[in-house]
Amino acid sequence: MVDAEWDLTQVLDAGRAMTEEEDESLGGLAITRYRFQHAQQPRRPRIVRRIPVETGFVFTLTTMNPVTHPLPHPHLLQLHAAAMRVCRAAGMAMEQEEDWGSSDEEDSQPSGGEVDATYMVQRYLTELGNSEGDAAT
Amino acid sequence: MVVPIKDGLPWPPGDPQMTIHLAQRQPFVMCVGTCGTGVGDMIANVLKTLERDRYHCALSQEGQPVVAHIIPYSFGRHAAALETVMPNAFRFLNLFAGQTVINRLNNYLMLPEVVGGQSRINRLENLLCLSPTNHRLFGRGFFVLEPLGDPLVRLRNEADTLDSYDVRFSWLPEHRPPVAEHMRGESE
Repeated sequence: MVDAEWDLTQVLDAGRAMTEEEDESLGGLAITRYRFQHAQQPRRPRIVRRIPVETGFVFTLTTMNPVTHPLPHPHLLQLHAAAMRVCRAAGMAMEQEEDWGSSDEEDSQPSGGEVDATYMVQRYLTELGNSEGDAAT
Repeated sequence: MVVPIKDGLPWPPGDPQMTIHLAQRQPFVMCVGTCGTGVGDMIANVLKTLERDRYHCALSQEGQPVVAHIIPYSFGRHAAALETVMPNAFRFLNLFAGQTVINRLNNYLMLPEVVGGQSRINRLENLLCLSPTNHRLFGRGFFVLEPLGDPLVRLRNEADTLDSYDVRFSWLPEHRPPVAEHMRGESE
């Protein structure tokens, strides 16, 4: 039996994925991309155009020499994307920049960080159970 | 750690050749960590990344980019396995990605190539030129860049190399926190 004083709201209700319009943290953010005339040629400044970059925008990463100048490993980009989906879903991507939501950079508060990570995982798993296929990677 | 490059001179100073090369370029800022040793290698990789991405943000094509890590630098700030350097990140990844991914990360980025060496977190495959703004958004997960399919499938022989692949941009909205949901319900 659950004690009536326990507030399990945070555990039982993991929220839901907001749309881009709803998420105020994305409000006002806009990325545009300079459009090159040809991929291998320098752009001509006077007639350069900028195109908006929105979700679903596809561009190509290229390298002139894959041996000496290899491209980013696609699996690392995939891993970054998967981890960031979890961090954003749990609202933990803001404060711990570049650390994927962990708080152990200085190894000063290992126990606190552990609680946070576990809590985040539980929230995400709950969310996955509530809405299958929604925002899951 | 942000290492400014002023007046064409990198700090900490690296290979003289690199300094000359740098002096011919616009000043820029590189957001890479300094490991104490192997700074020359690090600067060389930063320069190679700039060359590869033609001194432009890979996403917006703006000039004056910074060189950003895909897997954060802090993961490899010491040449040791992830479970030692970042125990919480290790637990996080272990739950979501599994031990196989961690083993591959360790071998690819964390552990040194030779005994006593430094981590390989600064290898080119983990670096990408981004504008300062986009670097900040990318690091915080406001957007992600995902390869279309698995580009490595195209590589069938050992001699095959990957000279280009398509990447899909996505904004990542947060989940609405439950408290906000309830407050919204009360106000309606």
